[in-house]
Amino acid sequence: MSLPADFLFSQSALQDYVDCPRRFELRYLRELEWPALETRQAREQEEQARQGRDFHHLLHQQAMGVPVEALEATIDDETTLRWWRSCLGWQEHHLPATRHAELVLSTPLAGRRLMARYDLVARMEDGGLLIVDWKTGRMPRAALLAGRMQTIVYPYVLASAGGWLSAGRLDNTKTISPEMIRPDEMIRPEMIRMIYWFAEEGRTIEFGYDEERRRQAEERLATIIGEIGARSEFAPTTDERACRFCRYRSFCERGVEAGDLSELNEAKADESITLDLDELEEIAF
Amino acid sequence: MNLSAEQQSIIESPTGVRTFLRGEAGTGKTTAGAGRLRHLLETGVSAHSILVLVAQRRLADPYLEVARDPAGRAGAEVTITTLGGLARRMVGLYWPLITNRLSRSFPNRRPRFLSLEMVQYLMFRILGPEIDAKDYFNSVTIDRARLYGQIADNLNKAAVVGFPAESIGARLTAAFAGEEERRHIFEDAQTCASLFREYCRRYNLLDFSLQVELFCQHLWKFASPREALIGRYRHLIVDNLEEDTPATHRLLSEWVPSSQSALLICDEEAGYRKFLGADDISALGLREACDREVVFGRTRVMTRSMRALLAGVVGAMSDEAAEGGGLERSERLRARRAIGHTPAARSRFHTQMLDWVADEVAGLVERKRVRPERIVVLAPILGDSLRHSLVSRLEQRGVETWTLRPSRALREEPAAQSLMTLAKLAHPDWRLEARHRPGRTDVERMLMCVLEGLDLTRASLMAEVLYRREGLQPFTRVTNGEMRERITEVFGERYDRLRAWLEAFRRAGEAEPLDIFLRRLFGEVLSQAGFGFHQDFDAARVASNLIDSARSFRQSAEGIESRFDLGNEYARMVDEGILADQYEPRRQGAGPRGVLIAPAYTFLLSNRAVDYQFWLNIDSPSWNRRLYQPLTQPYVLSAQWRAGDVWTEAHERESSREMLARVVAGLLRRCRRKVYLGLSRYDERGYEQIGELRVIFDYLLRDLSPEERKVEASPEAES
Repeated sequence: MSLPADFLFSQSALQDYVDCPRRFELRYLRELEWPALETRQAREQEEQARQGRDFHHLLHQQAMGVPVEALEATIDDETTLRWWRSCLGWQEHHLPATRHAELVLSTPLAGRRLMARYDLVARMEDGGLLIVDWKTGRMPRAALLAGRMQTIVYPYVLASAGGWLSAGRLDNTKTISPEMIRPDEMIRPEMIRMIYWFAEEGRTIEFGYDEERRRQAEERLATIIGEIGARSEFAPTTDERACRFCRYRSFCERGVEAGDLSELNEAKADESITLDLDELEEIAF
Repeated sequence: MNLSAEQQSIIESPTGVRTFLRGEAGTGKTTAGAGRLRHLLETGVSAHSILVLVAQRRLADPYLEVARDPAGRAGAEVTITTLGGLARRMVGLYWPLITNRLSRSFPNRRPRFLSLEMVQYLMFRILGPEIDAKDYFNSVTIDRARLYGQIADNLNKAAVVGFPAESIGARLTAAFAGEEERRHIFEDAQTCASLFREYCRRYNLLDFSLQVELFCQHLWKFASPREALIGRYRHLIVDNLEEDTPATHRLLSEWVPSSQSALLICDEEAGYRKFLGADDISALGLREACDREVVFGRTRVMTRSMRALLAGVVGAMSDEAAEGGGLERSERLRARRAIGHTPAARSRFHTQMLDWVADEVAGLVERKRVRPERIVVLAPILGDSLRHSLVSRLEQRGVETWTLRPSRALREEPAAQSLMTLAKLAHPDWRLEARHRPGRTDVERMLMCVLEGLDLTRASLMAEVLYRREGLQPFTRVTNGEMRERITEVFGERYDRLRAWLEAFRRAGEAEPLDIFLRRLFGEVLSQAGFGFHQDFDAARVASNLIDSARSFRQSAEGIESRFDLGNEYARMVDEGILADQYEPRRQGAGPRGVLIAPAYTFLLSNRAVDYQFWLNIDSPSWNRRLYQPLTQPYVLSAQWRAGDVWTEAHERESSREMLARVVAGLLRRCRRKVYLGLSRYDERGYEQIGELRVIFDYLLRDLSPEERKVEASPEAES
């Protein structure tokens, strides 16, 4: 099956492809709905996902100007309350006032469109942009995170599509015509940083950015996108451990029962098994 | 694309200009709207500051195409949404600002957004006992699901039109003054609406009506949410204003003047969503908020023949209807070239008409090389059997089809029924009453669905031999060699695997939510090789939707409903037709691939034109008959209804005729070359029928001279 002309690439679609081309095909090209379990502890997994969603939503509400006290009154579980307070403390010392929550940017690349949905992009006083991603799962090793598509895609898309943020036009009071965007107003990669903030630990993993990283990212992303566009067959991963946590395992005839949630959490933290458990909906109408 | 000068002028109009664009369907307004969006993006306007508002999801397609153009500039995302989408998003974010409008008992509890099927369920639970106890609606004979639908509809109309929900009954009663029976019905409808509203408020449950009310009447008055919208979205494009509601129009009347640019697009002679509160008159009021008004007058769709046909139909529907629609002879002949119809010899029975339609469609595709996507087959109402009859006829002729219609109730899908049968077999602890317990036929159908390749004969045999009141019996216990041979060892082994899985679940006795049980069953058995869902992706999609429906039910009901086991409750409610009935899939079906089969209204609201249209059963009165809705009335509950007026038979006739005229004109304006009229004297059930649409075309079709007959047979004009 070929890629539709208007296919929108995202970090999760690319991560799926890197992890397992077959999963990418089933999920994004064939849009095959396959409601099997991903882990045996489905209820627990659902609860983790709910907590993660609620926490993200709270921070979105906060960024949109809903008073902190009013929001705190709505929190009814201790874990979320702990994360919330820890996050507020961190924000106070590390985030500037100009913040943009749930921002979606996209850029053309290799004849396709690549999009990114950011939890938060903050504009620093020097005009630099800080990407913040809230994480409610376990903290992985920094080296593992560095190789994740999210770490590659987010700064790249921001560098390509976020010049107007750096130029301070968040208020949109002026129309920006192309001639008004001077080259020196475009965001330089060196002005971008990305931070993952881990709720459970209250700690961060930070990545800087520069032109060399941007160029490497562009090359890699363009190669993957080109490869997907040219492919007609999508083989399943050779690493069958991941299949235990994949809902398509019965389709691929790679097992019967779902894996164990604790094993998944370990695997997510220490290995390269990635699933969409803590992912929010990428495209909302 | 070839754009006209007037389209170009709209597209390139400078920022700072707010334009009200109107015109009939097919004059290129949406093309101009999508072009405008492209222009804004190409000239560097930040996509972050652009809002495209449409009346319903499908109308967004041309704008989504522009927004997702791979070659488009890098930047933010254009927001493309509906009033409902906007209301939900804003209430979801800002509800802590209006806790005084929510539950007094749980002011800080996050509101729950109710799906259509949850509304139905809660009405069943809250209103059902009240209706039974107080004998409400005793003169009305419609099923409960439709009754609840109309109560919800009244609340929605109050919210989108902007009158208090407490005045629904009084408005309706006043319009039907003197009709004692109706007065009782409306009073009961009001009582039920108020009860439901009170319940929702108590538990912070937000149905569509409360979402719209909270957003439009309360949040919109707060500075921060209002600024978040007005401050961010400086460029507005709004399409199909006539299909939107007064709530949207009021919002825009305050928003547009402070925008930096606006393009408001309105179709004339449309308003097909009137039954949902759409108001084409209040849409026109937005002209005042704009700097200029532009009218598109020239069709970019219809051929000359089609234009002549439209003129003829309009003439035939006018008060002084004349033979031939009042057209000059030459125009009349031209109009005739744009019409095909079932020949007399094939227009007696419904099935003959369907065969004729299938032959003609296949002829166009095969002989004239018409792309199937350029053909639609339209019916006033598209039921399952009609759809099936058409699809199978077209498939037999090698024509690919797709259907655009409100989807079939989930609970009627064989895959969903099979899953529910299995759920009941696995849960003897539910202690279902006899009418809810699976019968032999249910088990037979379930086996056919879940055992890949099992035919009806074997399924019947297995159900007969292996299903007992206490549950499924093991195949290994069948000792009769002939029976084993007839069933075959292959199916016997698969059946035993399924049965063993169910037995293990029963023995484990774990309390697992129904949706999780179904996911486990799907993954561990039904989607494994040799089972029915492994290769049947349509069945897998149905399973996914059913599981989603069951999960949504559980998540919504937890914390509200503690009296019942929710899995058991869900199963019983599916049987009652309350749940898995109005489920709305999260994903829209893809299209278009092949010949489209759709209800006429649905096609009209998809905002697209085709070369050839087939209209089924133009003899049917359903083309201009409103649905029977004794608890509500779209005209009386509209913003245009004047207090003190009384709804009469004359109003009924006039509105019905006006709606038919709009539908017919709307369809013709979306047709490039030819309309084929499906005639059949008897309907699907064998009843003789005669409707107004047939009468209209009779004006154009009757009294053909031999010369005219010859002309009629000639190919349609292409100019």
